[in-house]
Formats: sequence, C-alpha cells, structure tokens
Amino acid sequence: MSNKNYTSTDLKSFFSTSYATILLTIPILFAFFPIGLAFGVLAVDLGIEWYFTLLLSFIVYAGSSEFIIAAMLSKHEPVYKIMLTCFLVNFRHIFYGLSVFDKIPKSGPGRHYTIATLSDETYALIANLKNDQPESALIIAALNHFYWFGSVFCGVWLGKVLNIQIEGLDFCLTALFIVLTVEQWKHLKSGFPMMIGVISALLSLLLFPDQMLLSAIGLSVFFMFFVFKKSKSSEEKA
Amino acid sequence: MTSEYMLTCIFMAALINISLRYAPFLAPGSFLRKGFIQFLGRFLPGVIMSILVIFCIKDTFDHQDKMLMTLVSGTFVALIHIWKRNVLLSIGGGTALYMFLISNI
Repeated sequence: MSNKNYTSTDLKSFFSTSYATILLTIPILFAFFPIGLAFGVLAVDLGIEWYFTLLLSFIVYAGSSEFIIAAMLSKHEPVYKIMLTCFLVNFRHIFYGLSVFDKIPKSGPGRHYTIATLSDETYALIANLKNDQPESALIIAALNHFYWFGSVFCGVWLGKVLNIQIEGLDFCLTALFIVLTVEQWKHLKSGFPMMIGVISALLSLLLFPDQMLLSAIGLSVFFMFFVFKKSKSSEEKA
Repeated sequence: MTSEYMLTCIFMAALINISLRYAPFLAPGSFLRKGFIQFLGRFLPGVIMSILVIFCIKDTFDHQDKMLMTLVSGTFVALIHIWKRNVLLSIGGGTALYMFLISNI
C-alpha cells in the first residue's frame, strides 16, 4: 500500500470514492447470489464434496466455467479434457488485461490479486473506472470475489441441509449465458458475433461432436478473420 | 472420485485461469496492438457466450419435448432481459418457468 500521509480531506474523498465503488458492485452481488447459491446446491447435488466446491469457487473463480467443470468432474472426465475446456471457455479472459492495465494498482500484492481475479464482472466494472483510482479496482475485485465465494458457501450449506434433488435448476446456467449474450449484443450494438457463434456451434455439433467447444471456438475465430479482413477492405475503400 | 483427481483438476483449472488473466501483462505490446487481436478482444466475448448457450442446450436435441421447453424458457429469458435488463429477474424467471414446464408437462 502507498505511504501517503492522508489529510482529513484525502480520507474523506477516499471513503466517498470507496462508498461509490461499493455501490457499483451491488448489482454484481444480486447477480452472483442466485447463481452462486444455485451452483453450491447443484455441485452438492452432483456429488461433489462441499470442500472441493468451495475450493473450486475460491481459486478457479470463473462462474460459468465452474458449472461446466463441476458437471465434468461428476462424470469423471479425464483431466486433460477439463483443462482444455477450462482453457477454451475462459480464453476470453486473456483480453481483459488489455483494457485495464492502466486502471489497476501499479505494484504489490494488490496488483497481483486484482489480475488473478479478473472475472467477467470484475473486468466490466474496472474497465469503466477512471485512471486515478487503483484502490477502487482492488475493492471491486475483492468484493466480487467475496460475493461469489459467499454465495457458493450459502448454496453448499443449503444443499447439504435441504438434501433434495431440485429438478431443472441447472437451467439457470443456460439462462445466465443467454443473459450475457443479450448484454454483449447490446454492448456491441451488433448481432454478427452471435450469428458466428451459433453457426460455429451448430457446425461443430455436426462435424466434431466430441470436441464441440474447441472446434466451435476455432471455427468462429476462422470466420472472424474473414469478417475482419472484409471490414478492413471496406474501410480502405471508404 | 479420488481426492488426487479432484485436487489436480481444480488446481490446474485455477492455474489456467490465472495464466490467461496474466498473459496480456507478459505479452509483447506489438502483438497486442495487432488489428486482428484487438478485433478479437472486442468481439470474441459475444461469440463465446453464444457458443456457450448452444453448448448448454445441446444435450436436449435428442428429446423433442425437453428441447421445446428449453427453447421456450430460453426465448423467455432473452425477451425478458431485452425488456427489463434485470439479471435476477431474467435468470430467476426463466429457471422458474423451465422448472414449472418440466414438472407439469
């Protein structure tokens, strides 16, 4: 942490910035809680021990892929397949650092922690910060992490206590991805990524059903390259 | 499911995630500035979310009735979200609808 001597006005603005930052994360709490809760219940339902579920949520911390990993674990999928799936589903995280490297703490454990916990939601919030509030980035990262872990903790507890099989609860994962797709569509103001994704996915189901995720992403990057080339050439003509 | 298997999978998954998140900080700037990489950075999340939707529902393609209920619930989620933009409502409402459909039809 910095060695500044805070004056009372500095402290005031620090706390008011922190308060504003905490407010920013409240929607994430509301989004995470039902999903984390459902994940905790579902994982226990699938037969994964509560301590592994908690470990998964704490160190893997990538909501959507955790559902997929939990499902694969319960089916005893080979380690390499789980690793490959995790790599592919979370590959998009590689782009997050691109947009936020000037908004996170410059050094120290805070910087490393913020980078290590760059989830979709944390990235989305930090990307909207101005460049002079690295502490806010850390607060956002830590709160979101805590919300997720806490929600799964409640879910695991609930799952153990209730000990019932809730039919159809796993649909919440499909619903989550649909919501995220709609958000992306609104954000990008374009439907072509979704079309490319759906077409690639359906083609992969036909051609490479065993490696659907890998081939779908590969195919889509292939299609994206052509779209990119086309958009460049129409730029140059204009 | 042995503990070794679970721990290996979980730690490897964590390692992969953290490496992916760290990668841009280690990559040469010249690579990151490439037009196509920036283009992917912008549009790939949308592509991947769509792929994940299909990935989640692919197992229902063999069962006509389950597939229909999934599509109905999924469409409901999309429409409600376009209308209200409320994550809790969209996911909760859609899941509730799905759970209702499969237990009562």
